[in-house]
Amino acid sequence: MRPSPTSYSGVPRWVLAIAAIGAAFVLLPLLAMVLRVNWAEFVPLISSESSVAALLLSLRTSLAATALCVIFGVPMALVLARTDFWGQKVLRSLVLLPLVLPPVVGGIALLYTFGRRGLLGQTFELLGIEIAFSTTAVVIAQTFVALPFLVLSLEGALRTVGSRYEAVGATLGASPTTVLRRITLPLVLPAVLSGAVLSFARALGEFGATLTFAGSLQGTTRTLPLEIYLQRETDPDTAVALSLVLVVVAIVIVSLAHRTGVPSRRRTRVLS
Amino acid sequence: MSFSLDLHVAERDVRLTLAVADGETLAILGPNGAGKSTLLGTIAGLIKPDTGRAELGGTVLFDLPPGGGTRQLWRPPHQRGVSLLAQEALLFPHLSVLDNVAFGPRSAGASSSRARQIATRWLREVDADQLSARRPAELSGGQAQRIAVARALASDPGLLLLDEPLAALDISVAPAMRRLLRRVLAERSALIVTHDVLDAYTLADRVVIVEGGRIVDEGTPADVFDRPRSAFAAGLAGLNLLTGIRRGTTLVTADAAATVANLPEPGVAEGAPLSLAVRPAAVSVSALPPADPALTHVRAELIDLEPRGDCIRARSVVLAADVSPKEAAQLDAAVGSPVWFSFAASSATVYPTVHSDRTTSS
Repeated sequence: MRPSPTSYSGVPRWVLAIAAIGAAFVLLPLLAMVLRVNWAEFVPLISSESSVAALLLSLRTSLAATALCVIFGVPMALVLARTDFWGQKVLRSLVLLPLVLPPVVGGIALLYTFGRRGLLGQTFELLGIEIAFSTTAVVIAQTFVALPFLVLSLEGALRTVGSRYEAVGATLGASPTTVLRRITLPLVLPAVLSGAVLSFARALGEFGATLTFAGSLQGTTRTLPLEIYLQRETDPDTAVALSLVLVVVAIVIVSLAHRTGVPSRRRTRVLS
Repeated sequence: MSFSLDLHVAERDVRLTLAVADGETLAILGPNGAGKSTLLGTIAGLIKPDTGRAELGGTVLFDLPPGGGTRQLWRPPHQRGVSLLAQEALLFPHLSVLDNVAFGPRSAGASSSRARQIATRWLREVDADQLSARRPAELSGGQAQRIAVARALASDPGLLLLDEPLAALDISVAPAMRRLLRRVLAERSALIVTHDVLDAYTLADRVVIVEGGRIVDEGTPADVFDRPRSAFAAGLAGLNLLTGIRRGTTLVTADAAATVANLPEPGVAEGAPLSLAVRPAAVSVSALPPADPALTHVRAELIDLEPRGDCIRARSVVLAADVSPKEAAQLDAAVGSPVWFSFAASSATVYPTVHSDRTTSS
């Protein structure tokens, strides 16, 4: 939004200068990459068999992970925002741990949970399900790292909206489930959507946990970031072209998240 | 439906017992922090008290006997048939006006079309059917509050709770809203928390004054405000309240700080506790003893003169008087020294002081 010409901004010039350097720091590497793209070969490069397989796998697993994030993240956010129990603060920090954990560490933790000799792996093996180094493992790794994004943004939105509308709904005779369905969720829908978009973005970019826990098998666990990392050694042109694809997808996602995440002015006024 | 409540919150020293007859509207007045909103929250099921019991039309809303135990009963808010109308309308921002009002019937299991039919009827009842397609953000404060009334009534509550429903409204729309409430509250069991004597007079059949977690006065609005038993009620009614004991034709205030002479018809025995209520506007102030010896009068130090709209309030520890600016100018030199407050016997109400529970005995 452009401020009206008469409004006073009050930002010193040296602050503007430092901000410009910061922006250049973010934008220059992207520019450097774009300059390095082999445009003549661009389409063949990104449509090779392995590239397409990686791209499709990435989209498929990221969508599945996003769905899991919504299914588990919404109830988690509700419990964290609306209930009060002993040890809740500790639980919240632990749930948000994947946010700050190095993904490789997450991958190792998952391996010792769902791996063949892991905590739950043997149980799954008895049931005939092998998780490690399968597409399921990719989805689990992505969900593990992406879940906190949804929980965090939704919990904040739930706290902002407050529980007053829910109390009114209850006194009008609505059961807790009806209140959730007809009041709470519609009110925080923008936050659910932006949280889901952020989770999708995080899942799409997942590398460390996936490599550690799921490996790198073409068509099964080799997602786009893994493919890029692999091609970098042998075929830098393909790596750069695929990187550009990821950058474009990321830009689309960020703009989507921005649009759904910022509530319309009318809604803001009502909630404030 | 008839409603009864017995409430005990030990840590806040609240102990209240009250009842609302079928079709009766009870107003609860009290100073800030007296726990009035907590009381409504408890009845609605949003706040859980330590111990207490409430019953609505034969259904137990909660029963929390002292010492806990297994006999505890706590009915969740949606199974109580109690609607709460707060200061703010709190219309669901994502639903249209019609769907807001249809929310209650819909939650009770009515079909979508039936619920909207009920909602339309209630919108007509509050003269807002032309607003049904609007979003809450497109309403003024007064319109939103009217919709909130329709929404609360559409859920067909056995008891309606109103928490200062007019407090947040513009003074220009409050009178219309008050008339609307008077219309819909007739023949309906309701509890209204308010700060406004006018609300109590126009809306309530009976008034309860709560102070320090106890009911200090109870009765019809005329009972409570014409013959106040508490400084709070007297203040709300805009009356001077003097309490003391009768000595001949005088009233000696509790701390013996002042003696009111020439009492009109005391009506109590010598030495009995006595109250006197008089409007500040009926009281005159003079630096010299009143010329007419028949006037009821009291001598007290004039503390200060404070402007109040078109008159000036002359205050003392004993009572206050409203005087004209001209009289105030003459009194200005007397601030800080004793003056005479006097009034005609006919303008004062004198009555025996009875402590609390006026209606429980009647």
